[in-house]
Amino acid sequence: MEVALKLRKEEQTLIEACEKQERWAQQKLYETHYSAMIGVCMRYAGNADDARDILHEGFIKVFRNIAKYKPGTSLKAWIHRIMVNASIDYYRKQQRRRTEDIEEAYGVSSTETDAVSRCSEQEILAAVQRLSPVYRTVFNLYVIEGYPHKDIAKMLGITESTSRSNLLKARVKLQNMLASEFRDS
Amino acid sequence: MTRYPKKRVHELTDIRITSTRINKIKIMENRLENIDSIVKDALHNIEFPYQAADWEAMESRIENDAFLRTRLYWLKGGELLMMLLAFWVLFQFFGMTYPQQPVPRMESQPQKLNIPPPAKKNHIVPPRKEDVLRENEEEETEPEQEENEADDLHFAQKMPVEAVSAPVVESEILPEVVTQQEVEELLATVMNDNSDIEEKNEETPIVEHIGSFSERILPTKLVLLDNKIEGFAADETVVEDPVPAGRKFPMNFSIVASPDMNTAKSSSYRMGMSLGGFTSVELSDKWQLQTGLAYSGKFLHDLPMDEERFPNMADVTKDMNMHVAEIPLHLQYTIKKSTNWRPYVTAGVTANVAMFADYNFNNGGESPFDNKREAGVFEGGRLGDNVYATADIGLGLERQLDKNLHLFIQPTVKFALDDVGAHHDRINTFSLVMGARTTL
Repeated sequence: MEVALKLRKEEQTLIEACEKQERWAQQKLYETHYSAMIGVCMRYAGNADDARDILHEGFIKVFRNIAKYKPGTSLKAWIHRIMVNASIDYYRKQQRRRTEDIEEAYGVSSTETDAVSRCSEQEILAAVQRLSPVYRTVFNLYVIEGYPHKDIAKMLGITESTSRSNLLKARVKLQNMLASEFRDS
Repeated sequence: MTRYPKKRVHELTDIRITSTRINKIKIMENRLENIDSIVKDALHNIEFPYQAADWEAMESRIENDAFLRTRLYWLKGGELLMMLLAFWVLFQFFGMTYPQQPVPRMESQPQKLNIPPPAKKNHIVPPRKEDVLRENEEEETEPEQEENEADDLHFAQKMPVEAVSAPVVESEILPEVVTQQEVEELLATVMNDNSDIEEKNEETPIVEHIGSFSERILPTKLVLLDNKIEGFAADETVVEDPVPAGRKFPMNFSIVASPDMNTAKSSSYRMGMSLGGFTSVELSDKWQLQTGLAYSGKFLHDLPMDEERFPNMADVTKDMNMHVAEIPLHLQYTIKKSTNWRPYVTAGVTANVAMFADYNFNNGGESPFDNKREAGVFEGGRLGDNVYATADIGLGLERQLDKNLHLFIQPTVKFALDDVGAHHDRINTFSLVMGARTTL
């Protein structure tokens, strides 16, 4: 109990210092949440450089709006949310309209699904990063963040059915990529 | 076996195909659900080790952000100042009255003084050189007329040519109303200082009061002159024409600011702003030629793409932020010049150069060009893409506040003659130009 209180007090001090734009506090906050947040950004970005860009853009927003953070709620969740928003902004800038034939999706077999389950985290991440921005963003928002298609459609400025369609295509592409990855290895 | 008509068979086949398609998708979705859980498990909490170098990049980004925000505050401060200036101008135009100008107008008559006429017409005056030459020609054709105007203070404009090179003893600018007493006092002072001149020619008065008016407002001048003294070598003490040659075409300098309404396509418009400095040359009493340099920020929202050029981007819109340098060449015509007000029309062309340009695409669109094509000239963009011309016409009203300070307001419409940028956007602008003008 005491440890939890102490941690909360430390976090509060850190936030107050960040509000005053004190660099040491900003660095501390950055270091503390770097590992988790770069993971979030890597999922949405096409490569590590873009992920760092999203991360830095996200942290700029964090530092700018730190006064709006409500004490008592999870700081990590708040920063996570900002990172997701920064990723959506990134998507808006980078998005690419792709029209791929849905029929491509019909040739999925159960053996390929089994193969996918044997891939490593890095291989899965690499496959996600190879998706087009719109597939990747919809997949991340739906599968990992848990947003419904209705919200995703609003966030990305697309229709709900497009969101569903993109998710389906993303899944199929992932399946194919990971299966071929596994076969190659 | 049931026999269906041919058409009915087709309908049944369609239904069967649709049904098969839905079934396939459902089966596929079921199979793919595994993918979701596999990827989620792998990536939901994925973490990477901290990289110290990343903080350095972050730090420089924070500093850059602080710099940009500071610049933004300055920009907002500038906008606020411009707005205050605009309100002040409006207040000056409609909310205040000013005392009459202490300087006489060109239409007022010079004051006559009761001074004996000169014995000889060799007094010098400071008229414009071209006036002297013109009057000299008149003198050659009408010598008698000069005699009749000897006691008229307007004689300055009818001056004999030999007076041009005569020496000026002293000249002084006095207030606009020169009384007889003031002239006599000044005369006494000067005569004391020039006793040697008096000794040579006591009968000749050496003072003339000349209302020296240019086509514009100039103060009355009192010019004290000597006579052409016997044996005096005029060429040795030639005094330059007191009216500088530059006055032939007086120059004005203005600072201007304007809120702008920019439109491109019918459905899109947004306010922008301009700020700049202009200089103008008075070609005549009525005409001025104006040029200068101004900055204009043009910010447009949801601008549709050109359907002809980009047919597959029909549902895409873009936001455009453009920072433009404007170089106008305008001809200004004064409709009427009254005591304090000057209505005028202005027309001409402006060369617009997009220095910086930024585009953001909406509705899932993406730029059809690389960054280089969409960049302003200061960002490495092509000059041809970033230059366009506008034809401008405006109606202005100027208020004189002081001898050398005028405030004006000038609604102006700028029609684009050309398009700008890689997307060929045509931007028309309505500007409410407000500013201050001074004359050199």
